[in-house]
Amino acid sequence: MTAAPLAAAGTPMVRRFRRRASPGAVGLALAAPTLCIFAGLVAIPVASVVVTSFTSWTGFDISGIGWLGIENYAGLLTDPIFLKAFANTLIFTVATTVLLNAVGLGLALLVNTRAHGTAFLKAVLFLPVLLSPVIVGLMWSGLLRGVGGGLNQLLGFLGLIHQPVFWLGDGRFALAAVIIATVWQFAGYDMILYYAGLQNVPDTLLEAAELDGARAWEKFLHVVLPALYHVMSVVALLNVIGGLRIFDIVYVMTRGGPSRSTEVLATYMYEQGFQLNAMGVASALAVVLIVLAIGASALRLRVLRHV
Amino acid sequence: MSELALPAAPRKFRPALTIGSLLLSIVVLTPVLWIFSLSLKTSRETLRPGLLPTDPQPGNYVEAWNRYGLGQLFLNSAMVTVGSVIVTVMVSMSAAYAFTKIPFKGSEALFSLLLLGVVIPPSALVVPLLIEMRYLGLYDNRAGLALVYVAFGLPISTLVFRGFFATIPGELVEAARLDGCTELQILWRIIAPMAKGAIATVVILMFLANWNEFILALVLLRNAGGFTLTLGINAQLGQYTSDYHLIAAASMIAALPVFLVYLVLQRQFERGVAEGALKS
Amino acid sequence: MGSITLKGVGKVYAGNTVAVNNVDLEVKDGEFVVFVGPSGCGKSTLLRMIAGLETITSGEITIDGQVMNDVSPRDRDIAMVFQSYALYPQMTVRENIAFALELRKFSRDEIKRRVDEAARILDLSELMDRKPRQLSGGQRQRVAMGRAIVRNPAAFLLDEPLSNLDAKLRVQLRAELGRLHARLGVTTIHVTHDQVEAMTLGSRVAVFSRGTLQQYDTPHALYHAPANIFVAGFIGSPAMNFLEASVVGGGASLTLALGPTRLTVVPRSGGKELSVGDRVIVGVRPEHLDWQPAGGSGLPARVELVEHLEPESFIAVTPADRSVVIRTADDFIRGAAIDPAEEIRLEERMLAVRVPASRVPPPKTEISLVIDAARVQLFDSATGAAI
Ligand SMILES: Nc1ncnc2c1ncn2[C@@H]1O[C@H](COP(=O)(O)OP(=O)(O)OP(=O)(O)O)[C@@H](O)[C@H]1O
Ligand SMILES: [Mg+2]
Repeated sequence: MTAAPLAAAGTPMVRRFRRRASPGAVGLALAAPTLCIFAGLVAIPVASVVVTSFTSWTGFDISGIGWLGIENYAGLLTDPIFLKAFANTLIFTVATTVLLNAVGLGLALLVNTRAHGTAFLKAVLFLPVLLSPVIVGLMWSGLLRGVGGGLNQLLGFLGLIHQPVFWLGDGRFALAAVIIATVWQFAGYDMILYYAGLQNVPDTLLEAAELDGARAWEKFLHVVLPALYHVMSVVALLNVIGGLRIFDIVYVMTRGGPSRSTEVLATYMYEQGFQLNAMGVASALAVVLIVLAIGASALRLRVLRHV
Repeated sequence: MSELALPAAPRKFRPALTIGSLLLSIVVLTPVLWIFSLSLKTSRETLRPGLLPTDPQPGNYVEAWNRYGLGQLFLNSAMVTVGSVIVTVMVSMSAAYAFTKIPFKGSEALFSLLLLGVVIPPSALVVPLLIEMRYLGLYDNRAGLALVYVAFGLPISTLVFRGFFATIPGELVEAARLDGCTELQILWRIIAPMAKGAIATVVILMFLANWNEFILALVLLRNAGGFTLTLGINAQLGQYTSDYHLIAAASMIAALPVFLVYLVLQRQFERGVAEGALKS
Repeated sequence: MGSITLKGVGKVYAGNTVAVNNVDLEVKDGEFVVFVGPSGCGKSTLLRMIAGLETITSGEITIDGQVMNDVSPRDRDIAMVFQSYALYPQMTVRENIAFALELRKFSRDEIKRRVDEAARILDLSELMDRKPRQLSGGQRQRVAMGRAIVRNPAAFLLDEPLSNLDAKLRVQLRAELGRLHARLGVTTIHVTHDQVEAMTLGSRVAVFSRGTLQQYDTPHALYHAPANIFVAGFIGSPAMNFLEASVVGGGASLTLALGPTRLTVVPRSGGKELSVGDRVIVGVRPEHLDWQPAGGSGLPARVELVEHLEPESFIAVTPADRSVVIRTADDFIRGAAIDPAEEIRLEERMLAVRVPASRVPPPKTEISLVIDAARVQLFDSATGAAI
């Protein structure tokens, strides 16, 4: 054989015979930072919130802790403010979930017609998504202010009201106002999700339906909607989880008032923990929040399995 | 792709759709425009009727910037956001790589546990987090806040990366191993360059979440010098109601960077947000 | 340098799949060895164990006398070409080829020299700045080869490198592989399930079935002296025919009864002694069968199918006498791996005969089948081992 040009060239490869770390150990090492950070700042707090929810802890002094069993939970059940907050949270969650799904789907269908102007609408709808709920709350507070607020000016101009209405200061309107502000903020988000889902409706199915002579609404009902079940479940779950944990926008717009009419679980928890130093009660409220959130996602998985 | 997804609207409806879209756009924009108008009014005008400022005051922006120390707030927000996003991406990418390409004993179970984190509300954990951060000496510390953001960002980020890595053929990874890569080199030199789309998704998700985050910052920061933008603006609320025009100006300033980035990267934003949600 | 030795190598996947079973095998330095066998027989698994991509359940793998079981892939000094080529999509051809050298901290000049050399050998010079997605299948294959040869490794492992190519390109690149090996002289193990590829490329061929090494020998020996009915059936196309016969006369040469026909054969010396009354499997290749018009001295048969090809055609026949039993190699390796639905029922089995295109009998006619007794191979009717 003639001298192989490559074989003849230069340094032979250096061979090192390191023992290899077992692949499993390498995998664990790569996952370790994630697992440690998550364990330290999510898993351990979850565990400790569960533990403290059974105690009478009132502050940061560990020595004063007393074991209460389920007393905090039992107390909540007879606490009218808790019941109010719980009801408000449910109302808020259900209302925003229903509204956002309907509005999001409707807007997605509109945008998906690709008529002139829809692209602009799509971009505009997404703007509120980018904002901090703090700023959204601020904007709506400004719009809904009793004196000098935009809504009152509009209604006054139209002759519908003669006295300023203090929307956020009025127990009849405050919760609705917060709900509307939230829907305004996230409509574009759900629209984008539905819009993405619409792009995945298989054309072949639609064509087949067309050939079968399906009408527009029949196609929508039998082809488009079933193809959107997954998106719908995602949107619903995100809205439910978002609704249960709602805090910022309420905190900024109403602080739970007036007279608890917008009190939700998270704001009440914040009050208990950081204003009243009732850490045990606050923890019990936190556990309720966590259980509701996990329950919602478990429910979604069960429902998804059946469609 | 699917022009068909909604049966193409009949021609005669299209003008109506256009008009409807524009009207809706105006309705949606109203709160933003209102605040914008407010931000240009004089202090006395904020309490009087009138849609538009009679004598626009661009100087409000300068005054808000100086009075509220927006420069420092901006800097704080940027540090916390950028730091947390970078760490989240690096850490979750390597975990997702391990979960997809080097599965180890118990990795499935650990991943499922991590996934639970997607639904845990951060607001529910503020009490123990506060204690823990005090204990660690990270209370009222921007790096500490960023670390907490990382912790809450990891589940969804790992999920997004895992979804993408699952589509990368194992043979590519094996070829790199034979070529002499360590696992970290595979991750940074082979996988990361292929995962640009997934990285963009995670960066956008985390950027939005962390730039706008409120309750964790509210609980974990104490000294106004370290406040993030949302926190700083919130702190002004209810202090002097007569300063509403300045708060409005500050809000516009706070919203501006996100709006600008969105204008440039509209497509990536929409795709990133959709993917982030639909992958789960 | 690069000799590879496997001692009792086995692989059991989780779930108790025995993918590789107790394989002993030695590849000499500079040799071109082919692993061949049907899909799922464990070829890839074995190759991947040699590369270090798969852990070894039992046994020992040594390269140049050094035990490799616990050495990581990147330290084994082995290059592999994958069926999918596994080119790095974000890198140009040049970067793909240079990557391994870069990782090993070669000097820039040295990298450039080697990469250019490889490009020249593989005729890739024009393509160096393209990305893999801008290449055809054949070009990608060559880049994958380039990535392997620049490293000048102890051995090349090729896992079905040609199977994603169309037939013509496959033949062309097969020849190129042979030339490349002749030029570089690097130890090579090539995995394929194409027996033609195996026979043309390998200086030695290892035939696997269901995780077990059936025979490891030169192509010539595999063809002319298969160790068992599996190897005999696997090597050669169409496959060797197997007929059940009984011994009716002993001595130095045996007389076998195939239905009404008698066949006198000389068994291989040193094989198992056969005596009158024993059953035996007669293996005869299509090219060692011929035909005469009905009434001749051969085995009466009927032409079922005719496959016209030039210059040689194939006919499929069934023996007229239904007591002549046709066997297949599958009968002897029956087990979980064989889908009963795919098994050819006894009465539907046919014999393949290779005939010059000029004398193809008309279909559906009766003929007399002539067996070249000097070329038949005998197999144990119980175990399938060669006699
Ligand atoms: N990761 C794995 N886990 C469990 N079983 C496996 C795994 N990989 C391969 N096997 C099994 O091991 C056996 C051998 O597989 P292998 O890939 O080595 O076959 P092969 O000879 O290369 O086949 P092919 O020609 O189809 O590539 C098969 O039965 C296969 O199902
Ligand atoms: Mg294989």
